[in-house]
Parts: sequence; structure tokens; C-alpha cells
Amino acid sequence: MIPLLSTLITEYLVKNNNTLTKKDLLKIQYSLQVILGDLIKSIIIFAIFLFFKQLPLFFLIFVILNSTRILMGGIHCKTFNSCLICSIIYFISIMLFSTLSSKLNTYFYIVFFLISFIIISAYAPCDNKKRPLRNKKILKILSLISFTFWCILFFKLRNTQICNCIFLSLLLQIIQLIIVNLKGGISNAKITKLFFSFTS
Amino acid sequence: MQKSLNFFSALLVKIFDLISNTSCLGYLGEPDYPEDLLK
Repeated sequence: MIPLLSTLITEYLVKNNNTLTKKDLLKIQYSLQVILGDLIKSIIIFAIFLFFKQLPLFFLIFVILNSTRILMGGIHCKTFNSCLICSIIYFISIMLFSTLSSKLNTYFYIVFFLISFIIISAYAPCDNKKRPLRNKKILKILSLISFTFWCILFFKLRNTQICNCIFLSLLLQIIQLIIVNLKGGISNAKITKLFFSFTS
Repeated sequence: MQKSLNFFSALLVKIFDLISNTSCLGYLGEPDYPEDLLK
């Protein structure tokens, strides 16, 4: 449905704007697919969190996810539906952990953040086989800055729910970094195969 | 109307350039990158 909708919008733009080149159209279509896809996913997950009356947590997970994943990279699903299911599971797992779990030992967190920092320094950003990365150095530096920011916030804040949310979001991001780097660069087909080898 | 359509098209092209500079998009999904743009 999303590719169809983005194609329709692109066709409308072609008819009304003669200056657009073939490359521009491909870029527009791709951007529309990204925007519409993320918008639909956001609305669905927003509705779930609204139902559970956990909207502040939704916004926090959303901000952490977008400030780390965009820079470090991560696992992809092949289809929109599998991606939507994974996104919902991702958000709900963090919500459940944040609300139900208690805070662990401080030394455990210090070790975790130190190891994570090393992993990010070594592996981020993930290679993307579908799309070449042009600015790896900048992405690595920004990944480390973003991670350090969340670490500082984690140790500054006393709210267990927020701290748990930051911890699990970062842990899931680090796990993805490790998986992607062990299995080679991100490839939708490869990840889907890997995903189904775990589920079957 | 024409002006806003031109602006919207230009905005989407700019968004594409921005996306191309990231490591990964939004959540767990990413549409297939147009092969013609890899050349």
C-alpha cells in the first residue's frame, strides 16, 4: 500500500512539475516511502501507548531510538509488516521492562556502558549493503556523542522507569550492532533469513 | 498551487539527501534503495 501511495503522489508531482529529472523522481519516491512507512508505524505504536496510558514513555523510547539508530544503524526486516511487528515488540518490551523491572547494581551499569562504548567505537556505524555510507567517521563520532549523552542522563536521573528505558534501549541497540557485524553488513534478505532461522 | 508543488518536490529531494547521510532510517525497516541511484 505504501509503495502504491508513494507512486501515486510521485506521478502527480511529475504531471505538475516538468523540471523533475528521473533521478529526482526516484529520490522523491524513496523519501515518500520512508516518511509514510515511519508515519504509519508511529501512529500505530502511539495508539498502543495511548491505550496503556504510557505516552511519555513512548516519546522517550522514540527519541532514544532515533538518536541512536539513525547514527549507529541496525537490523532491518524485509517487509513492512514484519518491520511493524518487530517495532511494536521492540517498543512494548522496553515499556514492560521500564515499568516492571527494578534498578540493578550500579557497578553492573558502569561495566555495561564501558563495554558498550568500546563496541560502538569498534563497530558503529553498521555497513548497509543496500546503501553505501559516505560519512562513516562523522557517524561514528556522532554515535559516541549520542551514547555518552544518554549515559550521563542515566547516571544523573533518579527515576527508575526512565533509567530502565535508557538502559534497555541502548542494550538492544548494542545487540543489533553485534549481530549485524557478526553476520556482515545489513542486507534485508540476509536478516530475514536470520530472523526466520531463529523463529523456525 | 504550482509554487507549493515545486516546494514540496524540492523538500522531498532534500529529505532524500538527508536520509542518505544517515546510517539507518527510523525504526526497523528501510525500503529498497533505488538501484539506479547507486550507479
